[in-house]
Amino acid sequence: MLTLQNRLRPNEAEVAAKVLDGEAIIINLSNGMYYSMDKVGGLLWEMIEGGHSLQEIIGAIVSRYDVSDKQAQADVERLAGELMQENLVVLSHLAPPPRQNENTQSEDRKPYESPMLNIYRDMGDLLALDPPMPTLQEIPWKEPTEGTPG
Amino acid sequence: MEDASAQTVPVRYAGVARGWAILDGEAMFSRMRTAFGQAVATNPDRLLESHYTFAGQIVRIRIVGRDLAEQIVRPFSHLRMNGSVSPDPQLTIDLWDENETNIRLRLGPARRDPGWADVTAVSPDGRYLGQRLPNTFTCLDRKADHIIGSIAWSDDVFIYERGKPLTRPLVMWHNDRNVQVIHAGLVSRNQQGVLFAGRSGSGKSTSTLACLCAGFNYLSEDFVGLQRLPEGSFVGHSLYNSVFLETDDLARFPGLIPHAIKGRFPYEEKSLILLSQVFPKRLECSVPIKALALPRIVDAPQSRIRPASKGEALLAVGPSSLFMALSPEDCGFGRLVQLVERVSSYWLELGHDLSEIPARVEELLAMANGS
Repeated sequence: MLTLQNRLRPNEAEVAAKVLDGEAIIINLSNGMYYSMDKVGGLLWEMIEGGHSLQEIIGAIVSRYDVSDKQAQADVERLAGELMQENLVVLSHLAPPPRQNENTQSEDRKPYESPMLNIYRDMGDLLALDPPMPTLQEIPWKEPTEGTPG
Repeated sequence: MEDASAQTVPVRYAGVARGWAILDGEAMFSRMRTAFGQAVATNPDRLLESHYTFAGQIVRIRIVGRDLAEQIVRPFSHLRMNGSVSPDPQLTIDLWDENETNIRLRLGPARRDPGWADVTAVSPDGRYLGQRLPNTFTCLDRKADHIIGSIAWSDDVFIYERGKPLTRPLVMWHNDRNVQVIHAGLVSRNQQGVLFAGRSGSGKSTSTLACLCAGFNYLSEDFVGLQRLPEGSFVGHSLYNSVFLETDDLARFPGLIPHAIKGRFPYEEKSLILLSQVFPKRLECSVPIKALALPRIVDAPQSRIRPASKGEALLAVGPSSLFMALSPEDCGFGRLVQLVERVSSYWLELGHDLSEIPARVEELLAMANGS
């Protein structure tokens, strides 16, 4: 069970990720699944990478977006749970980052949309090189059975 | 003898945790080198040597066996060097035809079922990589930049073995030379490359071939060697001039139909086309990458282009390209990020009229050039 004091970190042994223009692109190299999160989701991933607690992430979201604490908390808890379920993040026990200035609500907060983790499960396509191999059946990989060839 | 396929090492392939068989690389490579030497010694008049440039690197190919030598290099023919050749190739490929030379590796009992099979194995230290296909066995020594392979050449050799030979050793060798092989199409106009990225079925091959047929130069429809130059720009390198097409896709390109090579087995669903036999003057080796096109089929009468975000571009090019790494650490994700940050990306929405594709790609290039 996650608490708001928990900090997460990317599961670097399995995951490659990058936030580009606010959109997080995440690829799980262990199973070929890949993901995207834009806007609030991109901010959340950046703050996870930065080692911030869920409480700090909620504070940052509320300061930048036109959303209530309650709604932001519900969305962050849900999304954090999904990220853990997909094995994209793990609980962090590293030292927290230096404390930043307290978040203050910006006067021109942006419109808020609940962040979504978009999941792409088309692993079959990923495996299909051109040309797709008709059937991938393993054949025995033998050590040489004779001393010399020919 | 123990079946080594029962032991696996956790190597990632195609983005999926998959066990690759363990290869006793040093012993196997030594055995193959001996066998190739025997093939040369007993068939000196059947040894043919030629030179190629793969990703700007000189490659020497020596083949024992006349039929094999004639057939197996066709997918590389556009990369063949003319004139004088440096004595120091960066890669040596030695192949022999088991049937013509009667020098056989005897890796296992003859298989009754001729079905497709593809097994890749690596040595525990990662130095050697082997790939076994139904009629082909190849082994790469990554430290020595040397590939040795045996092929039992006959009419039964799969078109997948003929059309894209030595795939895994070559992909690995390119990666080792800091040229990341990605899953994409690549065409060019006036020395400006357009990379087509997307999942299977997105329209990559269709877009690539439509551009080729309309006068673009061609580099690839699936494997592209991606090189980042020191100043940050990207160059794309061709690996093969061969294309595999489903029957429906082939019907869209009537000019290719007479050149289609069909497989002998029912599960060889695609036809092979060697573009060197159709468009020998339009095949290019390397080109600077100017734009990234993300094809996708839409239910609309007309095709159109529109800018794509960097994230969308990374989603298109990333997952299917991270397939040949030995480990997550060297999977090349960082370079793909650099690519989408450097190169302008556009959705190429493919409407019902596919003849519009080349014009849209021309527009896309013009947009990338700021005009």
